[in-house]
This record gives sequence, structure tokens and C-alpha cells, in this order.
Amino acid sequence: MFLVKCPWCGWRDQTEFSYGGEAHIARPLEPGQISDAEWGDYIYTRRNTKGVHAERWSHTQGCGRWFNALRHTVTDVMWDSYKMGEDAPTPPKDWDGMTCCDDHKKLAEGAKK
Amino acid sequence: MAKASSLYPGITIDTPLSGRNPIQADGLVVTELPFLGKITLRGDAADPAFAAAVKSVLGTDLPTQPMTSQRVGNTRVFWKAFDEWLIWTPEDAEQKLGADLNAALTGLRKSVVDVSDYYTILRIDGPRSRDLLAKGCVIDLHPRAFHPGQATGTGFHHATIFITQTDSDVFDIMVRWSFADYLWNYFADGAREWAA
Repeated sequence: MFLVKCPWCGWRDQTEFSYGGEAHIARPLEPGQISDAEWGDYIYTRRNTKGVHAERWSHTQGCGRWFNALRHTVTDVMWDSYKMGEDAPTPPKDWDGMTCCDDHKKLAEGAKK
Repeated sequence: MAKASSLYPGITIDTPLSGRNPIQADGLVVTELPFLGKITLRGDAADPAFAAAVKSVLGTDLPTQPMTSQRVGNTRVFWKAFDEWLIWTPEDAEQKLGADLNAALTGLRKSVVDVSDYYTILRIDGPRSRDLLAKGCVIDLHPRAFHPGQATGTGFHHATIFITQTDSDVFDIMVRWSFADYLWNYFADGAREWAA
């Protein structure tokens, strides 16, 4: 169990959400024009990333809206979420998947002091 | 609790928790608020025409911040999503309000749906209300995190609920008709710990 950040409602328990699989997979514009292999690729082929993964979530029990999020698939820590149509945020290159964007900010500010 | 229908003479209408007595415990009372009108409104709050038309009917601006609400008399307007609001009206006032909203929003992109009979509302009143809700609710209801007037959809065990804090120790919980009995039994069981 982990926390998910809804772009509107904020950090909530994962049980309030539904998972929607990998994000940013565009449906072929002309399904009739492509081969079975290409269609199969669209339906089934996924990155199966170990590390930072862009994925879709729905705040089913809350506002009911879909959004995208970046999650570390090893630690299950969500970095940040972003609304549909927005560009994905970029976690720092050395992100170890242990802190979310908000904690990371706080830790960085603490280190400066 | 049953009553005669105001729309259909001779027909008795009922609530999902008909026949249940209030749950009473030390510092806790759970009752049903039956027959309140409930309307789901959808549209684009950023469209000035939509915002103005809704305001002309409701007498207040739509809440546009997540988890907030507005109150006008006995009517309460809740933010449900960035393009969706929930309106609670006094008993039997929902039909006129729905018709007024539809009339004011003619020609605009909108959805006005009467969901009064799809849900019922439970009220938890008393200093133990947070303790009871902590038995199954996943959000933080501590006074530093949740205030009167705030409202949000969340879960209570397997039930999807919409919860709002009405007063310092009073929570109103909207739940689907078919889940009302489940939730009521959970509250009754949870309250046994503080049986009077």
C-alpha cells in the first residue's frame, strides 16, 4: 500500500484510486491501415520499466478524474502527478525512489539551512 | 422512515435505513438525514456565462477550490471535481432547483441530474465522531487537517462515501442507497465500544 497524489485532492491512500496502466500510449489514428503486428504492439507491448514509470491513475472514490503520475516501480514511491495533457515532471537524475517531490523539496531546503 | 410522496398521491416512499433507530453511544449519535434533495451539476466553471448563470440560481459562486463548499440557507454546494458539483437541498426542493438550473443554463454545455434517490445521508454527531470514522475512513480528519465546510469523496472500508464536516464534531456522509445498510451496520458495530 502506498500514497498517490491526486493533482486536485492531494496525497491520498492508494485504496481510493484505480490503476490505468502505462501512460502516453497513443491509439493508432487509422486502425484499418496498420498490420496485425502493429495493432498487437499497441494493445499488448509495454515497457515493464524497472524504475521511473509514467502511468495513469483515476481518483475513483474521490473526484473521479483521470491523471498521469510518475512512480518508482521498485520502491512504489510516487514522485509527482500531472494532469492529462500536461508534460511529465522530471525527477532529479539521482532520484533513488525513496522520497516524493514534496519531501524531496523539504529535504533540499533543510540541507541548505 | 417512510412518508407519503408529494408527487404521486397515495404512494408511500421510503429510505434505505427505514426502521432503524439512531445509533446512540457515549459521545456519539448516528442518524439518517432522509429525503434531502441531491443534484449533480457539471459544466465549465471557467466559462463566465456558466458561472454567472449558476450564481443567478444558487445565489452564490460555485466553489472552485478542491474539497471546499458553499452554504446558502439550507442549500449546500460542494466541489466534487474541477467540473462537477454536488448540491444538497431541503426535502422536495430539488425538482424546482433542477428545473431552474436547466432553464438558466440553456444553450450552455452542462449536465444537471437529480440523484436524490441514488444516495442517502448519515449524520455522525458527537465528540466520538472522529474515533468512529477512524475505524474505516482513510483520510485524515484531525482538526488540523479537516475543517467545517470541507468535503471530499473517499472510502469507508468497501463503501464509497462523500464526507463533509458540518460543525466541529458533526460529519455528514453521503452513501449510495445500496451501501447504506453496510455502512450503518459498520457504524453500529464500531459504536459498541462506547455503548452507553
